[in-house]
Amino acid sequence: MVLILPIGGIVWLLIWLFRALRGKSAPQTAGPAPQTRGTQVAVFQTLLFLLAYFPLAVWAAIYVANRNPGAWSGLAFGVTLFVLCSGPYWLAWRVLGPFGLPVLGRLALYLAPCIELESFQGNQELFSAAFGGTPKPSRWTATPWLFFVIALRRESEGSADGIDQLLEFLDARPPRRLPRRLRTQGVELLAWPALRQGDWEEAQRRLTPGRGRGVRLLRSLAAAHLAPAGKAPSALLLWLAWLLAPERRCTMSLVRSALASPPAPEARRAAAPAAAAAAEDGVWHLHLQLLARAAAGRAVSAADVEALAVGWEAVLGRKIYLRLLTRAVELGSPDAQAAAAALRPAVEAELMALAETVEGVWPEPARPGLVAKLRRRRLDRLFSAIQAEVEPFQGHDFASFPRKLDTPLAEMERWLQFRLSLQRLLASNAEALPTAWYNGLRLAACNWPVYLLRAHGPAAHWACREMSVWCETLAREVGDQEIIKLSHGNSRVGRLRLFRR
Amino acid sequence: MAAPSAECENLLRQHLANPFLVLGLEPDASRDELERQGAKLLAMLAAGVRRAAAYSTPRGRRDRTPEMVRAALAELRDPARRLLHEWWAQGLAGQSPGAGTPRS
Repeated sequence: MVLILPIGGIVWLLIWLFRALRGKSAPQTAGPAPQTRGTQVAVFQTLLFLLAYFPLAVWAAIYVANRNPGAWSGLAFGVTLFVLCSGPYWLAWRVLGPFGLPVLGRLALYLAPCIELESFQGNQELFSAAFGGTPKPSRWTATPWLFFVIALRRESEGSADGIDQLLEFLDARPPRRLPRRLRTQGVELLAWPALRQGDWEEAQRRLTPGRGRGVRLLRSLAAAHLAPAGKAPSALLLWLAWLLAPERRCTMSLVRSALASPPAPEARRAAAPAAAAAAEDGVWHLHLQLLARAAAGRAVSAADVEALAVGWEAVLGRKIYLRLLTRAVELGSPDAQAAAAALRPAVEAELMALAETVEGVWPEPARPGLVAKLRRRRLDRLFSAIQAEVEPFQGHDFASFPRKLDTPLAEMERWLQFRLSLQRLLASNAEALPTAWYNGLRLAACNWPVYLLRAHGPAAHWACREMSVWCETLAREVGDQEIIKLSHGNSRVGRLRLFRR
Repeated sequence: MAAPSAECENLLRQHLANPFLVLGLEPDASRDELERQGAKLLAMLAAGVRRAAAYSTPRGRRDRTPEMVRAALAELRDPARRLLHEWWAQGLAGQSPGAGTPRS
């Protein structure tokens, strides 16, 4: 019998398991930090691997070596191990889930070999969120898995907030730092609701951080719908991508429809600036049109709001005020002047609500007036959104921190919202970062992860790492050496627990 | 995609529930006309008349309920509130606001 086994690989695997069980991979914290736990092990799945799957692969290798004394035993070992390790995942995620058998799917996931408890639980929760059943994590700790679960849950409840936060987070994160299941099927799951609604632009946005064959096919389909006629992927490429992708049964109709209906870029561009409508329908109708767009979450540009504000400025002149005053007297208003004067602030408040929804750069207008006022007030409100989170960190250390820290997951969601607010501020005015930074942002960005780590210990390690990496990036942009050093240390989770007062 | 703005949605809903639109009357309607129209719509809604159950707005037809009719009447009884609603209703109807001949 010639038995050739990848001894090196097996030894490495056993060492890794041993270290994981001892918890050596856990980050260390200094001082009176909460107790550290190692990488928590999914005991049943690990034992299943060690006592069933691994011996089965060895048996397959021995069997092949006995029957065929060539060099095939190593291959037999590898193939068996691969099938046993990947099979249950494939069966659950690509067959049982999409076929509407979530209970069997969860059972298959239970039998899938998995060493880390976080990964095992994450698979279970995400599967439940995607294919049926209510996710019931024992703790809503901050893990990338639970972020996907929350985003899917919010989506099913009709809110895109979770997905926006998640995409903003993934935007700044190399995809390789995500578990493979998330960067492949997790991203596909985020895109499916948009695909079903035929919202290809949104689907493309959601697919951006994804990797893998399935994501590649969906991206090609979105490109086939959105790209200009000459630049759309060819039919051959689409069918090839479909052939290589999983879940071909579901996606075949999408491929056919993409090939049957060539892109019509002109039609899509029709949704662009609403400003031109102002002259035709009047400023009242433009006002309603922009409110409807903002209410639906569609883009409202600074140019649209400017056009509306200029239109209102022309309407809300002295002449109208006098007419309203006269009419207020006719109606018997006890304070006719106040009644007539109430119009302008009411319109301005509505314009402000619209201005709040403007995304991207809003250049300084050439002359002072209502537009300049709106822009300034919007900037103030963007700063206040940042300041509201920064405030508790100013002048307080961990002991006197005035806000009760929530669960790591809830804090991480809050932090993502904070990031989004900052992103909006910076998109609006690139010079705003140093101003926000030295008005307390540096304290919040640096201390938030540290306080979280102190409050929740190892359950917040991942959150602390992500938050500190972001803080370090900001500090580098501003050139704040002190915070760069602190956050760099904190991003190594728990090794340094330094913070600024 | 930007997040849907709840504030803008509320503002839009308020504009589309302009009392003059809900009652289906011109902005220069007299107080008596308003009261008569309100009573008529309430009676029609109570009797289940289908054509009373919806009204036209610049963004399509919307459902009309007895509560909306009552709220519209209450709003228009306040002169200061009526002034603003009149102004918006005239603008949306394509009339020059404040230029009409008042009848109340």
